[in-house]
Amino acid sequence: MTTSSPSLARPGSYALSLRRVGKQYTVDDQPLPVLERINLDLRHGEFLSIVGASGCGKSTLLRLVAGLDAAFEGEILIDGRPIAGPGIERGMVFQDHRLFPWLSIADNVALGLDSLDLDPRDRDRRVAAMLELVGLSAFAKAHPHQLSGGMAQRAAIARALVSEPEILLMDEPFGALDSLTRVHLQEELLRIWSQRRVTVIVVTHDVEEAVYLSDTVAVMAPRPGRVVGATRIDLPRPRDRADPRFGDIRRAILGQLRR
Amino acid sequence: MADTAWQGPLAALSRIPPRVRRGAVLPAALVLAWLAVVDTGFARTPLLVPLHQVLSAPFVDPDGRQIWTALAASLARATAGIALGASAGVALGVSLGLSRPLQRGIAPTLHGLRQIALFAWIPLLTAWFGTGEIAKVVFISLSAFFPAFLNTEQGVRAIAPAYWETAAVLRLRPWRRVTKMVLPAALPAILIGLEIALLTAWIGTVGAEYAIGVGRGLGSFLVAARELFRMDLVLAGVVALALVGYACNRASRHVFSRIITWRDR
Repeated sequence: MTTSSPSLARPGSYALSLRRVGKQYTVDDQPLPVLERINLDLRHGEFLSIVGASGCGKSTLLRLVAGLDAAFEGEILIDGRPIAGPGIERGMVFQDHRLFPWLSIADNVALGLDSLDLDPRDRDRRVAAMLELVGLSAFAKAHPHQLSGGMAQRAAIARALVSEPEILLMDEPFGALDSLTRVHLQEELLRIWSQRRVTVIVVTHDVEEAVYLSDTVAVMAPRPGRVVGATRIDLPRPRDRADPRFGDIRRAILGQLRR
Repeated sequence: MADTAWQGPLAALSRIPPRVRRGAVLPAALVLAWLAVVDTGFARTPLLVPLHQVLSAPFVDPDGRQIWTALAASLARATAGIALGASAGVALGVSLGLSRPLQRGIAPTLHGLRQIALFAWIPLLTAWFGTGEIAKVVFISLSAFFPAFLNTEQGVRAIAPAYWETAAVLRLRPWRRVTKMVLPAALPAILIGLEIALLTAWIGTVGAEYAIGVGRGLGSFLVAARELFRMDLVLAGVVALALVGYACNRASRHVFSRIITWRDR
């Protein structure tokens, strides 16, 4: 286990850097800190999971990185530049798929390209390629209510990735799915990640999922939300959940959570 | 022989859905009572006219035939008023639902104006626009505007924050945000607003014609019939008014229920 520390690499070489990021709400005129001095560095193409009990602020942190909330302290840097609101270089997947029920799957995915000036043929080609990648080509004209939970979440991943962002942010992306679908989608996500070479942050409360997926697992503790440890996972992929080393790492991270 | 003669109408009756059959009981009973009391000559008073006379008046009576031109004039006027009022209501409702400053600046005034009883506008409107076509259409527009506006504004403000966040993360452009997210998400509320707008506008149409009195229209037809003490024509007018309102309501429900084809989850 190695705790991530500001390495010797120049700051610009990180895909994403969080510098003393903090956030507080005001409750009854009293400041209520929800995030305190969060420091994280992600290399290009790194897969980071953030685990923590509910209420530790991990989703709040992800919302800050997504640019959905501009009221925070410290710095969030992408390739060394501070973020200003949501950006083309970040894609986001929520726990609920949040597809628009009135649009077909292809039209939902195409919304991810709205901010780009593409001619319609180019756009359709990219949407089709993305649906192919997530295995939904046959459902391009279907509507969200006609899809299973797992398929809808794959469509949401396609929508987030279609603009080819460098960073994919996922807020408990598989939390609402049954365990079989979840395991299947975890494998799918790793396949997409290795094909697209994106930097990924997954927020989850499932330690096994985090160990299965990630290069690094950051553990957050609540009140105020802070990072209490970061574990590098050097097991080769595909990982075997029955591997004793997998179990050791999982137990070590659970130990950090219980502290 | 008697059996076969009865089977036709009974079989036809049994094909009508039970819900419709039950709903038809009370109107049928009233019609029968009317026939029994008035058409048979049991009650003789100029206030009650035999039913057959009311129903045939629009076809055979020379004064009664004017109901068709009156009806056409009313429908044309109502259509113009609804088109103006409802589109202004939806447009303003969307704008106010989208913009906080606009909301703060305009909404209190509109919500205040809404408190004015609809028919209290008539003296003001006739003073401003005279007793011609313009005053009536403006009045009908007003009566369609408020339900369309209020429901649209409310529908846009009730859009789940999750949709706004999604639109923000996808960085949808303002126009696309309105057409692909805001309008469809608020559509159920907008359609309810339009349904109410149709009804109030129809009531407003006949009301304006009745109150202003000048020109053609179903309302003016009623005034004229009443002044001539032609109760058959008054009743024929009332029947026409009710039928149009009912047909509008049914038609709008039928159309609107086919516009929303998706399910939320």
